[in-house]
Amino acid sequence: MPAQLTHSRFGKSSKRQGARSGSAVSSGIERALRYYFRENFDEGQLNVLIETIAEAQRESNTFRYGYATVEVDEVKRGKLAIDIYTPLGEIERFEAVPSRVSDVQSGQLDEFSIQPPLIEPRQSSPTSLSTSVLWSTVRDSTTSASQRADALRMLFETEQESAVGYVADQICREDLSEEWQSALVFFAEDSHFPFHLRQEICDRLLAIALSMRESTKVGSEKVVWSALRRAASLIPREHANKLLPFLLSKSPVDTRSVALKCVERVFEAAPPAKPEECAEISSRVQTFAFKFLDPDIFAGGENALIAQNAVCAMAALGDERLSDAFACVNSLNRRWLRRQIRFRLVALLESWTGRDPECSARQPFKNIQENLPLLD
Amino acid sequence: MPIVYLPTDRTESVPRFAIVGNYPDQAASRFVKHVALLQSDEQLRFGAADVRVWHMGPPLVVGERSSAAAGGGSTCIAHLIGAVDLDRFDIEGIVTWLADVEKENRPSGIRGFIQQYTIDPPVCWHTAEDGTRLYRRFNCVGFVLDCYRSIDINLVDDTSKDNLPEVSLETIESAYGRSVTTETIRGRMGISGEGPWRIVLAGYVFHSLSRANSEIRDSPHIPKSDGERDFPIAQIPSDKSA
Repeated sequence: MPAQLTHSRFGKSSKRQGARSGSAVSSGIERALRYYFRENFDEGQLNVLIETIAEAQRESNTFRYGYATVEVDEVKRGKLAIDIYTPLGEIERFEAVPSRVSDVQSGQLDEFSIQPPLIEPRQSSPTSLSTSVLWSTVRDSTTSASQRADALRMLFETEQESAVGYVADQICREDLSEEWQSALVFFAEDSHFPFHLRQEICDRLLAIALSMRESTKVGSEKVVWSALRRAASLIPREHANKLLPFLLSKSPVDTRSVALKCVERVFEAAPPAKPEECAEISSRVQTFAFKFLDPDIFAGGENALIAQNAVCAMAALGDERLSDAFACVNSLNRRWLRRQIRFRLVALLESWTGRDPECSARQPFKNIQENLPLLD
Repeated sequence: MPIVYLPTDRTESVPRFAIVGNYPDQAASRFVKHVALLQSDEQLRFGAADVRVWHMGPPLVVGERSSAAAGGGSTCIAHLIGAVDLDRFDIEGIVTWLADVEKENRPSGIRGFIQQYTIDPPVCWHTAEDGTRLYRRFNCVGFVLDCYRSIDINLVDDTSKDNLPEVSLETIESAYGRSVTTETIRGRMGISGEGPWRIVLAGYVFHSLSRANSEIRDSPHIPKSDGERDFPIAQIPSDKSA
C-alpha cells in the first residue's frame, strides 16, 4: 500500500455528538478521510476513526485549529499517524491503530486506539510531507485556496526562495480566483522579493487594492489594506502620487487611514528628494489633516486615526504647513495624540538619519526638527 | 490602587479597557498566563468565563472585523483585574489605537497565528525588504503594553534586557505551552537557544498595576524577580481568591 497523504483543516466542534452517531470533526477533514482511505477501511472503521479524532480534539487544549497530515504507515499496515499543526506551529502527532473489539449489543466493532499527543514534541518542520506533494497542492487550481495556502506556508519553511518566486509569479497574474489572489496578497506581505520584480509586484498590488476596495464582501478590507501596505513599501518615493486614488473618494472599503499611513511609509527610508513632485498628494493629505483635526470632526477611533496619520504624512512629505497642523493638534489638548505624533516623527527622523546622516540638512528633516518642540 | 480583587460570591463593576488576567488553574496556581483588555464595562466575579476582551490570543482580536474573522467572539476567563484610572481622553486614545491595529490584522488560521505572534520582543514590526514597517507582531503582554503606551502609560520598562529577570524554560512552557520546548518554535518566536531568557511575563503587568495610579503614570515598573510571574506572590484568603 503506497503512503498516502492529505492535509486538511480541523475545526473545533462546540457540541459533543454521540459516540457513533456522527462526527464532530470538520466536514473538510471528514471528507478527506473518507476519500483518501476509502480503499483501506470500510465505512464502520472510518466512522470510528473520525469520532476518535473528534474525541482527541475535544480533550486537547491546543488542538483548536490546525492542519493535519494523515499518513498511512507503509510497514505496519493500517496504522495511521495524524499530525496536527497547532496555532504556534507545533506538530502534535496522534497515532491510530485499528483493532477489533467485541461489544455485547453490536457484536464486533472496529475501533481505533488513539494515542494522546506525543510526549516529546517533534521538530516543527514538515519533513514528513513530501515537498512534491506540497507543490502539487499549491499548483492545483482545483484545490481550495485555503489548502493551497496551507501548503505554501509549509513550503515557506523549507523552500523559501522557490516559494517567494512562486508568490511573485502568481500575484502578477490576472486570472486567479479571488480567494487565491487574497491569500497571495498576505503572502506578499511576508515575502522579500528580488529587486527586479518589485516594480511589477507593486503595480499589481495597487491594482488589486483598487479593484477590491469596491468589494462589499466581508473580509475584503483586510486584503485591500494588506495590498496597500505592501505596495507602499515598494513604491519609489517619486511615485508617491500612486496612492492618490486611495485618498480621493470613499468606497465600500475605507482606505483613507491606511493610505495616509502608507504615504508616511513611502518616505520611511528617506525624505522626498523634490517635495514639489509630491504637490498633488501633499495637497490631499493637508486637506485631510485640517479637516479631521477640526474639533467638530475629531473623535476617537477612525477619525482620530485619519487626523494622526495625515499629520505624520504631512511631516514625511516636508509640508511647510506642519506648524499649523501642530497648532491644531495642540488646541485639541489630547496628550495621547501629541505623544503618538511626536513618537512617530522622532522615529521617522531616526530612520532618515540612520540611513543617511546627510539628510539632516534637507528641508523635510529640518521642517520636522524645528516644529517638533511646538508639540510639547 | 488599580488592582480589583474580584470576589467569588458577587460581582464587581469593572470599567472598559481594564486589564484582565487569568490563571491556568484558579484553584492551584497564581501564575498569570494571559492578559487582555476588557471590551466594555462589565460586572465580573472571580473566575467569570466568556468575558469579552480584545487581545492577542492568538489570534489577534481588536475590533468587530477581527472578532468576526476569529469566529465571532473573543473571550477569556477573568481572575485578575487591573483598572488604571483612565479619563475620557485616555479612552479615546485606546479606541484610536485599536482602530489602527485592526488594520494590521492578518488572515485567521495558522498562517495568521504564526506570522503575527512573537514571544520576544513582546511587540515588534514585521518589515519589508528595506525595513519599511508593515504590521505589528505581538504576544498577549506586548499587546496590552503597546496599547497603554499609546496613551503614555508605560506599565513595564523593558527598554533594557537588564531590567528583566531571567526566566527558565519551565516558566516559558507554563506561559506558552509545550510547543516552546521545541527549539525551532522558540527560534521562530524570538527566544533561541536553551535559555534562560530575559522576557516580559504577564504577571509583571499586574505587579505594575499594584501601585498607586500616579506612580503608574509617572514611572514604569521594573520587575524585581521572576517570582513576579505570579500575582499575588503570597497566597491570599480563598474567599478573595484573586
